[in-house]
Amino acid sequence: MVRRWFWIPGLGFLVLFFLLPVGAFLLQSVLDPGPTFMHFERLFEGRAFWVSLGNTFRISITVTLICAVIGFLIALRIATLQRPYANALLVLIVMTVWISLLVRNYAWMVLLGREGIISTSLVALGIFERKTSLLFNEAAVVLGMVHVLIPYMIIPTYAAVQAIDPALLRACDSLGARPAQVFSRVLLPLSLPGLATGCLLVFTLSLGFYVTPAILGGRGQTTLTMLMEIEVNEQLNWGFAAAHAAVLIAITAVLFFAYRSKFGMDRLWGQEL
Amino acid sequence: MNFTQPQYRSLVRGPFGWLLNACLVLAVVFLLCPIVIVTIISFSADAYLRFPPSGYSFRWYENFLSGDPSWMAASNKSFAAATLTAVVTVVLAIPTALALVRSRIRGKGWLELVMLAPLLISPMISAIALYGWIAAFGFVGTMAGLVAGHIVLALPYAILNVAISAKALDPRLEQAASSLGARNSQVFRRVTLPLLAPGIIAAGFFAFLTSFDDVIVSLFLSGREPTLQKRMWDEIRLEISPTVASASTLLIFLTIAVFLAIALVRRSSEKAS
Repeated sequence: MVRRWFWIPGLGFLVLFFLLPVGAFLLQSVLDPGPTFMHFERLFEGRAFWVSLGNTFRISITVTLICAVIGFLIALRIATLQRPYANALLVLIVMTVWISLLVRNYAWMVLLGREGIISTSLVALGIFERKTSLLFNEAAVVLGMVHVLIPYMIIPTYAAVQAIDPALLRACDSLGARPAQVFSRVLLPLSLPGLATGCLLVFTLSLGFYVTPAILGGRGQTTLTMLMEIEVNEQLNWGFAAAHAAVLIAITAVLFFAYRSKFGMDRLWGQEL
Repeated sequence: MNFTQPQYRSLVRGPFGWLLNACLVLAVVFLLCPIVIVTIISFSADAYLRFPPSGYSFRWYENFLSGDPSWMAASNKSFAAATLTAVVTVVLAIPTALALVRSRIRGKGWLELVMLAPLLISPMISAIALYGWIAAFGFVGTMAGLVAGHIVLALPYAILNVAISAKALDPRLEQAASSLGARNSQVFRRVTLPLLAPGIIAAGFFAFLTSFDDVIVSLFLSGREPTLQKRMWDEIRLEISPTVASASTLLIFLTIAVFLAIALVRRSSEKAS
């Protein structure tokens, strides 16, 4: 039983409170105060934009690569486990996704801080002379982001590995393939769509991250979202903030449509809708 | 005891297997370690963050629960916002999910796109855009504005959850009810809704957590009285007293409880079917 109006509540809500607001905000980049390209001119001429765009990309690429390598190996091991163990591990991993991001980043502040366990044990081992804060640098940001985002790599790659026909592996076995060959000639190629999904998710989410670079990073980790927040809250320059947003959305859109034209949407949802 | 599925056993023998095992063990430690550390430090007796603590006490829980009233005020606000978000999100998600799964209208691809956009576009952009939109209509600082922002973040995932249940629902059950003389409203209430219940409950819980754990929307839309996450954010940015750790620990266990509740609902519905 489906009525035509069933579309309206959900779609209407997203149009009213997401599409129209985002559209209106983006329009401000060319209409604030009147029709103008000054915000984009200022954006592309200013050094701050290029530096933070560079920071955003560098951090996002590092995070995505680390997640892809480690996440894929983890997913592979989980997929080879007997079902009950695999399921238990997946529940654990998905559960960490639902623990507040702020809480998980705060935990790294505790661990990496001046009085944290890493600093104090490095002093005890004689590697450091004094207790030192390991926070507010790029490594801390990357660590915090990998911690938050690696489940987004594990889940789609797990789904890809798990869907591989067991007969292929028996064939590898009986034809005498070494583990490295099984990995490089069968498992990796057949998992590529899952890896692509994971990379799209991790990379686009990284581009839009705010909390982690803001609390674990230093001056060298100023990202586009941080500039946007400053423009809106401190400079009250909405048009200029909107120009930043337009660039970020354009990058996300290019990545997404490139992905969709190659792989479709089903893997993103985890199933066909 | 053998944890590995038979067809993969030769793959995980030898050095490659050791690499995979090491990744898996490290990942589990990596994902859980910060959570354990936060829990331990929340019982610290020290006046500042130090790990390991020099003594243990409940002083930071006391401070959270009764010492500084702003913490409980923030928690109450978060609970109210999260409950409202969960209820409205579920009501919006049910018809949308049914339309998504069952109708063959051409707009389906568009709906999927509109649903996906809030997940891929940085929440910072959605939050700023909604802030501007709501300011234009004079709703800044109201509960309605805050909840609207949270619903945008929660709705896509809620629709997905209900849609998964809706796909598994056999339409013949509804046809049988109709042919036995049930009116449409009766079919919906007594057949469709009960069969969708596991997806609806999961969607509601996840929407609750999405709202409860949100920082970015709250940053712009919570007004003068902060939500719990906003309160924690302010605390973390100024000085980090261990009160944040006790708040975090309570949040972690709330999340685990909600997650287990969802797992139980899913399991019992799987057994029933």
